[in-house]
Amino acid sequence: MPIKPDLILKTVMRDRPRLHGYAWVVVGDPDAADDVLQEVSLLAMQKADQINDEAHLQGWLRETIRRQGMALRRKRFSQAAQLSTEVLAMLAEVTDDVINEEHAARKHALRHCIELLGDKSRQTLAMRYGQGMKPAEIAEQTGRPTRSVYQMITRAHTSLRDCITKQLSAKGDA
Amino acid sequence: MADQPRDIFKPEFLEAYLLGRLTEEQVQTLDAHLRRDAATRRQFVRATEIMSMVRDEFQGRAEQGTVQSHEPLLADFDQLLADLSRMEAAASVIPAPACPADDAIEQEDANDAGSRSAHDLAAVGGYALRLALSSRPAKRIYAYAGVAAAVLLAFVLFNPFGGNEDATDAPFATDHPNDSIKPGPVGPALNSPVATLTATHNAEWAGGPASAGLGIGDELHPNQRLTLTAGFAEITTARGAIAIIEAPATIEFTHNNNALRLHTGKLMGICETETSKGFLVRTTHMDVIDLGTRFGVQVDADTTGVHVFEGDVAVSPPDALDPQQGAQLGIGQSASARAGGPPIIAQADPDLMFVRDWTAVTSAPKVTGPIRYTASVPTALDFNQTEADDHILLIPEHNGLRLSKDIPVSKAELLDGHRFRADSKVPAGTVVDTYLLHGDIVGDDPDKGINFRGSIRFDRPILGVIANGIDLSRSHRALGLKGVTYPGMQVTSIVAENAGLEKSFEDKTVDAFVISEDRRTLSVAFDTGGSVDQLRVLVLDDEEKPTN
Repeated sequence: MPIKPDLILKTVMRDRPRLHGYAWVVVGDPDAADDVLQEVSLLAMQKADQINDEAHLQGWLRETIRRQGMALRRKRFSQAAQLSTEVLAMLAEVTDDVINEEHAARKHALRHCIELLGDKSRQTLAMRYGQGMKPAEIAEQTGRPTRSVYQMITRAHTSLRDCITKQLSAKGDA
Repeated sequence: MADQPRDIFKPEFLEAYLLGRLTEEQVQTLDAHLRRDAATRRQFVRATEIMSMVRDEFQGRAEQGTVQSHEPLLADFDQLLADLSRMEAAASVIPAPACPADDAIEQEDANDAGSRSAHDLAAVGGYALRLALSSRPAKRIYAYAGVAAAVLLAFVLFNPFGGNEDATDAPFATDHPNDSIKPGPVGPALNSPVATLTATHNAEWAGGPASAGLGIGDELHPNQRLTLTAGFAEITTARGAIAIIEAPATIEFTHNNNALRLHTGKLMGICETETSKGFLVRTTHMDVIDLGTRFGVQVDADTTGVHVFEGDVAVSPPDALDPQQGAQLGIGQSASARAGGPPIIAQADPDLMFVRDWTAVTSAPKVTGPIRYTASVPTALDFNQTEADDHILLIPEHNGLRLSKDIPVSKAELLDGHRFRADSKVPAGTVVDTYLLHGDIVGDDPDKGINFRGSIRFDRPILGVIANGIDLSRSHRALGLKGVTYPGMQVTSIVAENAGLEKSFEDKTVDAFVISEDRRTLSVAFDTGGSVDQLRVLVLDDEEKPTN
């Protein structure tokens, strides 16, 4: 029996960070990952009669994100270095293991850790994601080199990942 | 860019990869680690999910004026799903109402009410899902709030997006010879936005109400006309086609949500999604319809030229009714047309210059004056090959090049006769970005001369410039690009020698350059006459300390 459209909606919305994260890995750009996720989700709606159940949907979404993401990356970011197809497939397999794991806890930890960031890092992330500014635009507005902006965003993300891991680890130990 | 040994993996590679900041070698290192280490793969997946959550979180914070948190929305969403389920069940038993605007559809719908309703339900759900998955939280909210109403609408109108199809298609989609290219089902009402300004770089707009206060994210409406006087702008149509506009250019929007008029100037069209296929660029001389591709269009007073970089495009005279007047172009093909005439197909014109993607735009230094940055490199830079009377070109050559030998450069104006001489060297091993400034006015009239004055602002220190003709000619071997013809190509050539700058030459030319105190800005004066003028700029590639 084909999957119902409402279950597709529910699954895609619930798993958005995971699916978007995977699309980001494949296509290499968060905004382009949005495009991929939107297109793939629409496609899932259109092909609902060919998808059997949620497990089938999960695999179908992964594979379609990978295929469409790679095509988009080839066209839009052809000069950017890319992970191999084999590794992208391996990452898709890992994604399944992480479903729903500590999601709410991680979100809570994320908010806590963001408050621990330095003002400049927080401000840079807010400009990048909150206002949708490209790193070059942030650099132009703040008078800093574009590379420094990239470095700050990278470090902020790394710090947040480390912080969240520690937070969750401490909670687990407690 | 610092090199990374292949066998060293750093944890921050995970985030740096997602930000597109890894070198090819570093990506290979990451790939190898991910391939052999399950723990690294797991760590990477966690990192990607966290990065997406960070992005969502900051987007949510940016919208705090309208949204306090995502949780209430999710509660609404659950309600919405319940409504969807109820309506889907109802679709199989409720007869579909007629659509008064279309008798044929009415009959079809009456015969197939249940399945059609389910189909529309999926379509509306898909549309809502597109909005709901938008990167902008505000749009998600509207989607959550509006989707129930949209679903209800699906039971009232069988063609929920087709009510203004005429308005959507107007003025020029339905009568085009290529019948297979028609707008998709999602179209705007008469005054609905048909495009969005999605990015700008060094952009300046001509005055007037249409462009006053124009900012990224602004929606663009039918009949809105914009003149870009400097820099670049990226516009995304409601159907997802991307147009990168390069100044100077004037564009105008119509009721078609996947089209624009290009009155003058240059654009790169990028259509990579199914919905964006059929993107139409209309000029005075030609209609250009995308068939899933990447193409450039350039318009001046007399001619429109189009060049296909990927895929195919269909070209025809504007509003052509006869399919025979149209033609299809493939990769590497160009076409040009004058008013009233059919497009004439030719092979690629190497002098056509279009920025290929937005990444190339944003890496551009900030320029002032008659200096035009071009992200694509002309292949012919010898005398009388790439000419213009209204600008000089700033051409990016290398990014992250590690010098294999010392390169003599000038940091200040020191003269050797009437030519500049090098006063220092950039040592071998330094990683640099290089640019070439190129000025060559039209024709070779020895009495003709044009003064160009402008400046270039880099975000990294300028290591020096190569202004001496001989040094410049010698540097082509180490710093020039393969496949590009430079002046003379012989050290002893007079043309090559004259291609550099001169302080004075028979009392006619007074070329000059100044590097600012912070070493970020290069101001130049080209007095370009009977020869080409060129200057190569070396910029430190990374935040490495210069080793002069």
